[in-house]
Order: sequence, then C-alpha cells, then structure tokens
Amino acid sequence: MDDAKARELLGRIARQDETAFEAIYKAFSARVFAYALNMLREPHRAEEVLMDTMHEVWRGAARFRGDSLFSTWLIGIARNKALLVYRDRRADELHDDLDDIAETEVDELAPEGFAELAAKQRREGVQACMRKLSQEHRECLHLVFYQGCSLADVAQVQGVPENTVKTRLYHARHRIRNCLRLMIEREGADSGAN
Amino acid sequence: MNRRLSELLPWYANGTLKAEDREWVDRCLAADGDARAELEWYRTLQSTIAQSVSGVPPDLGLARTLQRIRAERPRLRDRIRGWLGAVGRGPVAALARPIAAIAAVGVIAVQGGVIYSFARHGQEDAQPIRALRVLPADERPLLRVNFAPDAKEADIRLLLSAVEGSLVGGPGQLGDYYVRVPAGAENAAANRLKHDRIVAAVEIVPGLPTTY
Repeated sequence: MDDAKARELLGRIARQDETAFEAIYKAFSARVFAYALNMLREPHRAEEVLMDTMHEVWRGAARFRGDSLFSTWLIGIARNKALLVYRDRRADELHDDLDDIAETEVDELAPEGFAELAAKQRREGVQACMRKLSQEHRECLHLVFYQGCSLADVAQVQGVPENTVKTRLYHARHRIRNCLRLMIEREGADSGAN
Repeated sequence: MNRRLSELLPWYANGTLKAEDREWVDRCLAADGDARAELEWYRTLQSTIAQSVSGVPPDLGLARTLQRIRAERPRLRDRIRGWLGAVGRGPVAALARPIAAIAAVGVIAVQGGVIYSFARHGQEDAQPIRALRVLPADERPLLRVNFAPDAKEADIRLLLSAVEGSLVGGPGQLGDYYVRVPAGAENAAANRLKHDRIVAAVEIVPGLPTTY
C-alpha cells in the first residue's frame, strides 16, 4: 500500500471508520509483526506488540502530523511498544545479545568471499547470526533490509543522527558477515571430519 | 572499495538512494567487481531476512484488536445522551428556556382549568384520575426506532438526515428512540429505515409515550 493510500485510510480511521482500520491493519500487520519479532524474537510477544501498535493507530490516528511516511510513523509506535516489552524482560534473557560469536574478529573477506558467502548462506544461518547481534544492530539491519527504510527514516525511528545509523550499519554488517564466515568454516570443518 | 561506495551500497540495495547517488553507484558497479559481489551479498541478505517472517497471516490479531476497540467504545445510549445533553447546553437551550417557562405556565393554567371544571360539575368522584401530560403543539405520529448494537453515532446522524428526521426522545429502557419526520412522510421514512443495516426495528407510534 502506498503512502498516499495509507494517509487517506488514516484520515478515515480518525473518524472511527473500522473498515479503513481493517484495511490498514491487513496491509501493515506483516511489517509490524516482522519488526517486533526481530526485536523480541518471540512470536507471541511480537503479536502482542502488533496488536498494541495497531490499537494505538486507532486511538491516535489524528496525531499523525504527516511529516514522515506513514510506515515510519507506524514502526516508531511499534518500536516504543517493543521497547516496553524488551525492558520488562528479565536481565538474564538479554545476555545472548552479547554472545561472543558476533564479536569475534576474523580477517576481512577476500573479494571472492562475498560471492562465496552469498552462495552458501542459508536462511537459518542468517537468522542465527541476526540473533547474535545487539538489539540496535539487529534493528538497524531489519529496518534497512526488511522494512526498506531510507537513511533518514532509520535515523528517525532509532532516534539517532544519520551518522550513528551509518556506524551501526557498518558494524552490524561486519559482525553478521563474520558470524556467517565462522559458521561456514565450522560446517566445512565438520564435514571434513566426517 | 572506497568508503563512500561502501556506505551507499546498502541504500542502493534497498532502493532508497537519491537519483544522483544511484547514478554514481551505477557507474562504480560497472567498473568494480568487488562492489558487485558485495551488492549481491546484500540482496541475498535482504531476501533471507524477508523469508524469515514470511507466511504471517495479514489478519493476525485483528479480531482481538477490534474486540478491544469495541469494548472501549462508549455505549450508543451514552453517546446519544451526551449528544442530547450537549444540545441542552448550547445557544438553542438559552432560547428554549423562556419558551419552556411560558409552556409551564400554560400547563398550570390547563390543569387549573380541568380541576375547576371537575369541581364545578361535581364529577371528580366519577372520573378516573389520569395523569395530565404536556402535549407538544404539533404532536403527530413518530417513528420508534431500535438501532443495531454496533451502530455508529455518525451513521445514525446520516440516516436521520436522509429521512429528514430529528430525535425527539429516547433512548428508553429498551433502547427505543423516537424520531420525528415531516408530516405525511412517516411510512416512507419507516420503510427507508427498516432496510438500513444499522436499524434493528422500526414502528410508527402515535406519539411519545408518557414513560419510556
């Protein structure tokens, strides 16, 4: 759904139009759910965030000022909801963010390594490596490569300057690449041992 | 690969790069195999991230969210009362107050006349005692309407407007609303209302009941 259509529906939602609300819900639910799942990694909590976010859209449609894309505004709401859940979690649930595998430095890949990595990486591998990233880095990658946000949008959602986004993105891709590289090397070692 | 190209590639991959930067990246990609390989890596990353949450039904949680919204909504009866209450506080109310005072004096006069008449003719014991009621000067048939539980206030207003109706009473204990339409248009209006999805029942009645 394009931004103009979303804005039109939002105007109707502000007038309590449930049909418009259902349309916008169905158009954006997957994106909000994906964002929340990326942040929280638990489907039932992600679903709660989705519902809370959409409920907020219903209640606050008139507050949308129109100075950003609707989707950016929506993800901003989802972020606040997800952070509330995230902060409520017990501290020991968060430790795996700091897992050492993503922090492990390996040599920068040779040019042909990118193609090799692209060919070998699997969905599970990417997911596993995404999980090893810090919340900010994981969110940054998700906003860029799933939500398709621009640099300015990512900065707005994360509430940081654009240069900080660039730095986060640099470190995030560096770490995920290292993680995938280590994974491939281990798989190679395992298959060699067998 | 130079720093600028490295910084711009993710945004090139996700399609949000400005036109002039995109053209510059296009030129770099044409000449740089490493950059093309890295772009391919980003695109693979993009598609694998997209696949990781595919298959989510678009109405996930929708029914529960709607239930929550509806539960929060003020009951229709309360909203109509609020609406009527607002009318009672407006400039119309200020104008209506002296008229109501004159009407009250008129009612007392009528009651006095009836009592005097009973006393004069000695018939007070023979007549059943009846409550006297103020009758609107233009009393005529009204429509008694029950709206569907999920009817929205805006829809009700629109519907009443479509039949040139005005709300003169209600809601009663059973959710009855009394609507006045132009004289002679009662049947047509009733027919129009009963075919509307927000109307549960409609009936033509002689006037406002004494209690409802």
